[in-house]
Amino acid sequence: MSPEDARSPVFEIKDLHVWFDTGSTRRHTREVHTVKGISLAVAPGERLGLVGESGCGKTTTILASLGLLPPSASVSGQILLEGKDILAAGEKTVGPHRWNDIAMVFQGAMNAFNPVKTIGWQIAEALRVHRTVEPRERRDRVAELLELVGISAANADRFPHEFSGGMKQRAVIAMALACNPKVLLADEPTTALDVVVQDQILSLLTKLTEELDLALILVTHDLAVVAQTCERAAVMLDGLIVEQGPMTELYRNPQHQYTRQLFESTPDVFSAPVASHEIAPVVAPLLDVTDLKVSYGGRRSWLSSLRNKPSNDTLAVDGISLRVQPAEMLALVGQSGCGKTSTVQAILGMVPTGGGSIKVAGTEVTGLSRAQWRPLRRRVQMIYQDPYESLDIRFRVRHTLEEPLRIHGIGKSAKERTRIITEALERVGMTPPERYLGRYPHELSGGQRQRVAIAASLVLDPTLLLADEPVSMLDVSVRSGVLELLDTLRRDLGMGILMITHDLSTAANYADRIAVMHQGHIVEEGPAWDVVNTPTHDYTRTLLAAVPSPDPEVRKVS
Amino acid sequence: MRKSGYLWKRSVFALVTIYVAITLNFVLFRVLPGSAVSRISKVPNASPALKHALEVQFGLDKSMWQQYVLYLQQLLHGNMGISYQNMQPVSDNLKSALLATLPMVTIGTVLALVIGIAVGVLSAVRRGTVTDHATTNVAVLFYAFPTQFLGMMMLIFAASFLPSAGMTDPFAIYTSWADEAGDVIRHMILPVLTLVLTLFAENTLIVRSAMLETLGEDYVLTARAKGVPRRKIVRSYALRNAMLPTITLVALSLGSIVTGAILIEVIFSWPGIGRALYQAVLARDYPMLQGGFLVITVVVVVFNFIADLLYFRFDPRITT
Repeated sequence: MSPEDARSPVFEIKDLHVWFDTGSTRRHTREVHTVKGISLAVAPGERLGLVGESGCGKTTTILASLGLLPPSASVSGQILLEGKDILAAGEKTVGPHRWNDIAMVFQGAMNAFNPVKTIGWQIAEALRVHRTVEPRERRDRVAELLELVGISAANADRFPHEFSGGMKQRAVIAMALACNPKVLLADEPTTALDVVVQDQILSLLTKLTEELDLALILVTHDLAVVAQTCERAAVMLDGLIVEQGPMTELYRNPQHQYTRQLFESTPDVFSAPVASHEIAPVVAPLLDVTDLKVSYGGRRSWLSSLRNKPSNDTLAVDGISLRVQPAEMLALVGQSGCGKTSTVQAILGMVPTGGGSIKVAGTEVTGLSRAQWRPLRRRVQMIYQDPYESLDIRFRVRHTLEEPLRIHGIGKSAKERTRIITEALERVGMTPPERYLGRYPHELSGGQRQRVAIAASLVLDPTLLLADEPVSMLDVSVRSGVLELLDTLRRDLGMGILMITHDLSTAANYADRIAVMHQGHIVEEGPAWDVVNTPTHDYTRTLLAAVPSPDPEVRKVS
Repeated sequence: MRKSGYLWKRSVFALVTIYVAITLNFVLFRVLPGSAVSRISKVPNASPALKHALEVQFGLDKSMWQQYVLYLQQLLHGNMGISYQNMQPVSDNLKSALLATLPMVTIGTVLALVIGIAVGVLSAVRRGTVTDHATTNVAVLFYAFPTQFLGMMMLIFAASFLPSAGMTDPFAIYTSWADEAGDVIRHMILPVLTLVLTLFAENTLIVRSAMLETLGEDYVLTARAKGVPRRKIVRSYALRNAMLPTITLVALSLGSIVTGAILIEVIFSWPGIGRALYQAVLARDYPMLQGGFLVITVVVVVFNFIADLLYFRFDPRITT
């Protein structure tokens, strides 16, 4: 803590250890040491970032400080609230402080509310349990809380599913503030949100800590989020805090190797390289989409079709045009619900198109039958967002890679197929391939899984790759590896890549061109550098303004 | 507005289902080889004239289509026909059979639900403990037993001290109303027990897995952090949400309760609708079969309709 901000900490974690009992055998118990002695402190009104990748123990730390770990965990160390150890006598000493003094905003705002009760009821429940206010004042207090986070009090009687993601997250914060806590622990509060909404929530948290003199610990995997919100940060790796200090210090002069690596793999939209290479327009683009229209759902009830009512479908994709040249990466950027996934599904022939044309390597594919599509599928391959779900958990790596070969009748003998498979694995950087052939997906890390998924499309030797948020589910430090891999594929093999992403920073750093999509339209398209540095459309500017930068000094006035 | 739309849709759906079932019932039994006449006319030296006379009497000489229209017309007037077996109106037969079945099946089902939910919640809350393993294993064991096997075992082990056949003692002379009720209840113990044992296991397993799923949700963790007492979390968070899939599955399994009742009634000679149907099949008693199946269909459809309403009541997310 800097000397001018020498207020005594309201909340302290001292030498916290957590072990998990992972099932004991008769001989010996097997324990996993997840948190290995970490210490943190926050003063009132201070915001501290706790940064780390999945599995580093950051969520465990937060749960431990509220005494919410499962019975299989054992904890040592101290959690000090205003100097008093609240873990001292277990449940008896933690219980009274929950929500009254330490409140929490959990990961996954989407599920933080009981779906069968109204938002107001659930906020009021906290007041009821802790008897914070008189029963007849509860409604007023709920209204007050909702207004505090920028939700109209009239929404108190609505159910969670009637709230948008951003509203839900605001309501979660309102609920956390119900009993006037001194400390707020926020675990990935913005991870599931769009970048514009994320920006709003972060400003709200900043505003609240200042107004209410609240100490905030913001747990996240995203350095840029911390850089834009917190004064200080602690970087966590393998249950240890490897570096802790003021954010600017960490950014300018990272001491630990891991901190440096994290910053390096966090793409910064504003420091993207100037257009890397020019691609001469080729006569026949790999993918040529013209005036594509896709209507949403097509849910016309039989009654309305009986009465011959016009269907009131909204167009998910409303006349967009795209081109992908060989050896080019085009990024299609937009918020969730903008129609980017519908576009990809239409290109793959998974949803019927409502007009326009799609040409893959010169062949018109709209209206092709399943059988006519099959030979084309070799040319167009898809990489999905979630490698945990896109790989069959019961298939070994060899099986996953061999299946497309069998389907398309490639490789006469087992030997030849093995050759193709090992080549593909080598190409995606899984060397030596022999080591991975017999593994199941659960024996691979997230990054390796995504590499296997990419290899599974490479065995078919495609010319066009469609990548739907290929790195958004991966840890920051492995993201750049996968993106570099995609980059090499297009350079070395001349593949065209259409990458769909919500992340403008990734797009700016890896794509040649960016197309910004908004409500079914492409509002702006051009070379990546130009779109980021000289945006012409208002929506692009809004997006850019909301993208957090890992440089704490590029902070926007919020 | 949305609410009435939902109810309207569900009601129409229920009515259409019943109509389709009526038609299927009609067609199904006539597709089966053999007819009531072929069985009754199996007397020595039965002349074709006798056979024809019987056919006319039962209305089986008319065309299929005429029979169908006639059937629907009479059904709308509440007339389900005359049983070929005892020449009594089917509706009277069914009424007395239903009066015997309903108490037995209702008590059995409700007990199975209550026990199933209680045991399911218990094993989910005590996940991984001895209680959980014991209850889950017992539930799986009973789930695996075929009804008829369990029924037979009951007969073997309990017939010495509990009445094992019928609904009342045919030789008993009752001195009071309570006396008769007591006799019926004693007769009911074994069939109800069999029904409960075969049904509770399924409910337990369904409730347990639904509970485990909801207990792992973020909102349960949030509620714990909020300081909501554990009892309350189990009740108004976990169980409340776990009830949704449970309602659907229980409603779906009602069909098997009916078949279960047939087996149980035959084993314990319970004079209910299941046994009546079993005998009607043997006698090719079309009107009785049609009537019985109609009643069962209506019961199942009505219960599913109730499940839909409950779902609507419990889940605010349902709009259509």
